Amino acid sequence: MPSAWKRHALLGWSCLLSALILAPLLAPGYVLHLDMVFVPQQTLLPWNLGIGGGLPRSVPQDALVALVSGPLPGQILQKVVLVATAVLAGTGAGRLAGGPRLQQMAAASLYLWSAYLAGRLLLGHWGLLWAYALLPWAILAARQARRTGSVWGTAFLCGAGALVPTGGLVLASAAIPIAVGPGSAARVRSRIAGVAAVLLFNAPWWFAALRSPVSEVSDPLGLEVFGARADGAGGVLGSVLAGGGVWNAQATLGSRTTWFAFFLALVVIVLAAMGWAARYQRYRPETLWLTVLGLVGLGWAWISGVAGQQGWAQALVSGPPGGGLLRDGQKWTVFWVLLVAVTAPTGLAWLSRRAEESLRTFLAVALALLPLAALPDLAWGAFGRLQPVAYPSAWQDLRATVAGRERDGDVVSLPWAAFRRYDWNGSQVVLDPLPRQLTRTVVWNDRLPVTVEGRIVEVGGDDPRARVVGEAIDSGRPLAPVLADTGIRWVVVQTDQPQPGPVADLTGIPVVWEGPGLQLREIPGPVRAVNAEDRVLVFIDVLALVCLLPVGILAWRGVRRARRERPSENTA
Amino acid sequence: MGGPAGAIIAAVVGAILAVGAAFGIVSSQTATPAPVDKPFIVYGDS
Repeated sequence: MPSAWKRHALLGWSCLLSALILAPLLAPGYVLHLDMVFVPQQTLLPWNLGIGGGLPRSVPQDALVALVSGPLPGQILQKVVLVATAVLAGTGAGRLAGGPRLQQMAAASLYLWSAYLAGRLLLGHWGLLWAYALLPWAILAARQARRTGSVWGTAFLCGAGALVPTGGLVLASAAIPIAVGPGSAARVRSRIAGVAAVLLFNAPWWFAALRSPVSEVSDPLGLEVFGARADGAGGVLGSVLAGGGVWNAQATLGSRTTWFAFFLALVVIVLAAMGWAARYQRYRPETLWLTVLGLVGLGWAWISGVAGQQGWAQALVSGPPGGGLLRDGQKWTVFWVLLVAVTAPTGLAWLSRRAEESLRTFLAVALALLPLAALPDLAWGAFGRLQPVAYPSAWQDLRATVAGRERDGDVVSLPWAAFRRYDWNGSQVVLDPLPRQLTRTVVWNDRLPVTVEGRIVEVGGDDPRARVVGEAIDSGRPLAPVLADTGIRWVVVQTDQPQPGPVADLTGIPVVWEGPGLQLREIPGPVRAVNAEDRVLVFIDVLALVCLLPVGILAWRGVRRARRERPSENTA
Repeated sequence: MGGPAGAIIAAVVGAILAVGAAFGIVSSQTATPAPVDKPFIVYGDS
């Protein structure tokens, strides 16, 4: 193999796998699936920063999308993010695994073509997947920080990956202890600065949560509903061991149900166990810490699936502030998935150490292809389940109409439900896109209806205004005075959507605009002013964003210095 | 491990991967959850 090919083999392989999964998503349009919602242009609104709505679950993800999706069309941004996520995940895992090129490519396959990535992609959790992609890079940076004493690379990656709270926690908990823990070459001052920077970069979500007037207590039902589930052979434990077990049956692959997938997952885990000792000897602190996190995360994922109805487990989620971040237990197998992906190729190399070169090569290639054989239906947008679509022109007309109105007031989205099924989107379930589409804050039903054992349960929302509106609709009272009192002037009725529960009484709210599938109504009288602002929080957000740039520059300088000092390691 | 053994291992591993992938492809067509009935659109089936 020519040296240029060799040098770029890992990147090329990661690009190829990414293309196999995402190629159909690159056609013009927007992929709208469960929580994955992008719109042509998103306007920066207070709720994007965690001000005035429910808990800051997608902070600062939505704020950054709003900032970028002005100059960059939303569909381009979505494609860039998804492709970058997949390529960075593959190349990062390969670089972290190290060793011969084929071992790196096998690690890339195991991490990129994984049940974890498939489940989260189908759920639409792209913010978490962004952190998943940066996790191996953050650990590489932490490894370098231990050696050089410069923690800026680690801090930058922890900040760049903190699009959602769980993503920020995943990166910080994995990388920071390695970078600044015992044995690190970093000085005390440098360690403190690194930790402070990571805290600042994560402040947009944790500071917003601290300042939110919304109850910090998570609905204990959340663990029962969002705990890990068996999506394949081997029950909950077998599923989470394989990186699967996502709670939503609509976000799993059919191939996960085969014994073959279960068997291959066991083979990979056995290989990882065989390679663990060798890896531990070479990268002792990081392997140890990743193993601890992997086992704890795996244990919690399993508990969330088998003990979600028990009081003590629910107390862990609903008791302490921020405990709600634990309710989707399968998320926390991320460390386990990475550990197995980077260790299994080492195990195979150890197992086949006495074999001929050609057989060793064949087995390494087989390991690189094994994830594709185990989960073939992840290919091609999960066999067509993820397809880009175009928004009907009426959606842009509605945005322009609402933006053009001069009177103050927010918007409410009806029918009163969180999720939609549009004919133009293949009737896929998707989170209501209206809050991201309009230029004003949209109040929507943030209670999440989920089918559990054949019955529908609702996991509690936390936006106080949504609660007031929901109670008014349930009681059958005229909505106009309630909306006016909560600062809402506009009502958007999505007329192509089914009507769950009672029909809202819209007496006194005339239609002012109508398009295919959409209707805009306006309260003609006065509406109470609702001033959603928090200057302190905005200052913190701006500070975090501004500080990310110099930290990035410092990190880049550190990378260049390390390359000059140890060129062989960085081209491996 | 000599030539014949290597070839046998290669054939067995290749066959396992190919047959298993075929099962996965078939399962992807049969194990996809049924659409949720309207009018209540749910987030998912837990």
